Amino acid sequence: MEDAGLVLDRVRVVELAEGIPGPICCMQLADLGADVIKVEPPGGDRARFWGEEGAAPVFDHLNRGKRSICLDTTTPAGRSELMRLVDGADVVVVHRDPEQAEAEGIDWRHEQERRSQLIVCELTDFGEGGELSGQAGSELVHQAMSGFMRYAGSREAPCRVGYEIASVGAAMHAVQAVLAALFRRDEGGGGDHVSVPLLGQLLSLKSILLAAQSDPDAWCGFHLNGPHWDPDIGWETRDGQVTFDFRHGMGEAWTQFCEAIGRPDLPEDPEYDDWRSTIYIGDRKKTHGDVYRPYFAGATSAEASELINGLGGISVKFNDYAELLAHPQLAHLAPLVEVPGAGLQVGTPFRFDGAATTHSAPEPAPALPDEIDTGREGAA
Amino acid sequence: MNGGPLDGVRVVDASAGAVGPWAGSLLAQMGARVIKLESPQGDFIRNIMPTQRGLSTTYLSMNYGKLGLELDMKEPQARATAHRLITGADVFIENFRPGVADRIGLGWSELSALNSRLVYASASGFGWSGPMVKIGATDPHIQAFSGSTSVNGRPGGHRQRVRWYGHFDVNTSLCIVQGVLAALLDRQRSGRGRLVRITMVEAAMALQRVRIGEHLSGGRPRPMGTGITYLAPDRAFEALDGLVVVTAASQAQWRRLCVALERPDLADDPRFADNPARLRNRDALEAALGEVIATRSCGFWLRVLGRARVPCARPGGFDDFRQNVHFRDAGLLQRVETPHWGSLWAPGTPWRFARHPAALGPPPAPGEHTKEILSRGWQAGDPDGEAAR
Repeated sequence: MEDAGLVLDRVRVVELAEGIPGPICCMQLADLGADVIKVEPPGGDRARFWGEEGAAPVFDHLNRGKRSICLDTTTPAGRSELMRLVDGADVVVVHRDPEQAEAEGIDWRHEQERRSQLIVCELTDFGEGGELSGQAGSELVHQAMSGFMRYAGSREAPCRVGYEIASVGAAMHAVQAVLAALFRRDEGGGGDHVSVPLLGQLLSLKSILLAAQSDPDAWCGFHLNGPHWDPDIGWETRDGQVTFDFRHGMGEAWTQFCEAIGRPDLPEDPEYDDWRSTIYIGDRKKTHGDVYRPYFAGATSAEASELINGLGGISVKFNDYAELLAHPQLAHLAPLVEVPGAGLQVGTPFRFDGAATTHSAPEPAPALPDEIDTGREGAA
Repeated sequence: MNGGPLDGVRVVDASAGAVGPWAGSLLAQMGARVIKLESPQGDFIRNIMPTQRGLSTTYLSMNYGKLGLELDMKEPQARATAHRLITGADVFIENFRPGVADRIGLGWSELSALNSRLVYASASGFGWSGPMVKIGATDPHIQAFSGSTSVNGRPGGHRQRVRWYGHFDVNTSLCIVQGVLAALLDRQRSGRGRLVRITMVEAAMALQRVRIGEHLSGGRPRPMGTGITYLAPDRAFEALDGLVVVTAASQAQWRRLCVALERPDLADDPRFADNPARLRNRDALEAALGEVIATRSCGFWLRVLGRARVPCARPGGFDDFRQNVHFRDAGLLQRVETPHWGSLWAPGTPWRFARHPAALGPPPAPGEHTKEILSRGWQAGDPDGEAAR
């Protein structure tokens, strides 16, 4: 490989997972230099068939930098081939549906114990123990159960969060789990079995909300009232929507803004003593925000943002992905990686100063291989 | 402290708000000893409502498992104390505005000269150069900037943010922890620390990598209410008494769903033969399923589909799950006692290490361990040194 000296060089990973979370975890490990073998069931990872009009963006963008083999792990021969791979691996990442796990009958804690230096990271939908363990979950199911659907759409018509918070979050936590276990192993602590519950890690991401709801002195603040508010669309301009904020203690800038939009009366009006609550988010924006709307309706997004940011406030456009990727700020960041033959993809989101963190030209996602005839040699 | 995988790792967390502090807390949950360093003015997050017995619950929840240290970095003696601690530290976390860390003696060049093994994690909103660098970056603005609002909501409706402002903060924390751990592994080989840089924008793009991938592949990621472009069925349906979400992510789940709905004919219908076909015939598919689901209650479907191992759930909230027996039995929720502010609902740790268990400890009172840290340095908070206190 041309990128010598990546953090996970010489680390061998077996991926026994489909869909989103396991594959993202292993793709990040591959980005960091690990040698990843993806074990696919006959017919392939289900995400190969996720997408409109024959495209498989989900698969293609979550599986770069890996090799793949196809194995029927429900047969003894397939399992023994799998175990041959596991014997040579440092890390195994597993995410199974309950019936797959039953058909395979592999106890991964036991497999880890048999190999003292092995690290097994098992993604589970609902965690271990509890009446739901053994049930099948999904991105949408976890969003629904963790309360996230109460924050998009309206109370009468809730919506999902449009990006994969349960699956990607689990992938990110799984990367942490694997890196931490590798650290411990290198310090002489041996391997480990670690599980990451998809639902549990989503609640971990809601730590702020759980605490806010414990026994608050008063039921106020945007960490508590979100489910009761209207859809948060920011401020409508001539050509889109923008955010609008002056932080605590910036009353003077807000006064200047009011003057600039032809409402010098507002700072004198006791209704606007608590001015910040009228511009930010929530109920008082609903009742008091109309005074600002004519200005926004007559301005372009760029004009509104320029005025607000010029006064020290915060205003950005509600972008779509094309607008985001075309924004001049993106030239100062490096979120994407060019995959030869497969175009641009989202990279691994941290950087070491002055050193390569990830592969500069990873291999594209593997084509579906033929099913391994388990009488012969396996992956090369 | 608790024998987690990072047992023995020492972290000085000088960050404020949520982005840096939650990263510090996750390292503490993995067993690192983490000192939260605050100025006498205190972390600004203490202004965020609500409070519980007078202190911001956001402050409490973002600092689980740390020791509290208050130092005025303008004082030479305090600076010397901080430098002494950092000389013995493995990790430093900051999210100051550009230039501030250097000014108060906590910049990368100064600290790496003190301790060449130091992993220095620096987090920013939009980055360190460019047209947006002076613009404040908090969760609601990163939601808007990063494209996320263009996939939330109803088809053809306004772009909308998710009304819980904090997810894009803690999502950035996840990336900080990844970077810190990768740098610690790198150090085991090179013997040297690294400057690790993370931005909220890049973290937000990593979070949305499936949808951005769809866009980059020439697809059209867009809001579909409770549905999603690339998979069907995967949405909410109206049952007799409310909404129930149903997913068939695999062919096996699809076939079992049809049987459970007593419509095995749908599994044999060529219009619904596989996921690409179901996407092409989404309207007919959802109409057929919706008709059956509308005839029974949510409770009925949870039982029947659950038995068939088809992913399904009822959208709920805190009031639904806090007393849910599964959430308690699987350790997904717990109560944590704080020093002075009563007890809080807290999540279980996101990872469960069998041999090096992670654990979530109480937050400190601001500056709670200052005296002890001044006299005992990194031995502070060590239960084995109890008598020396």
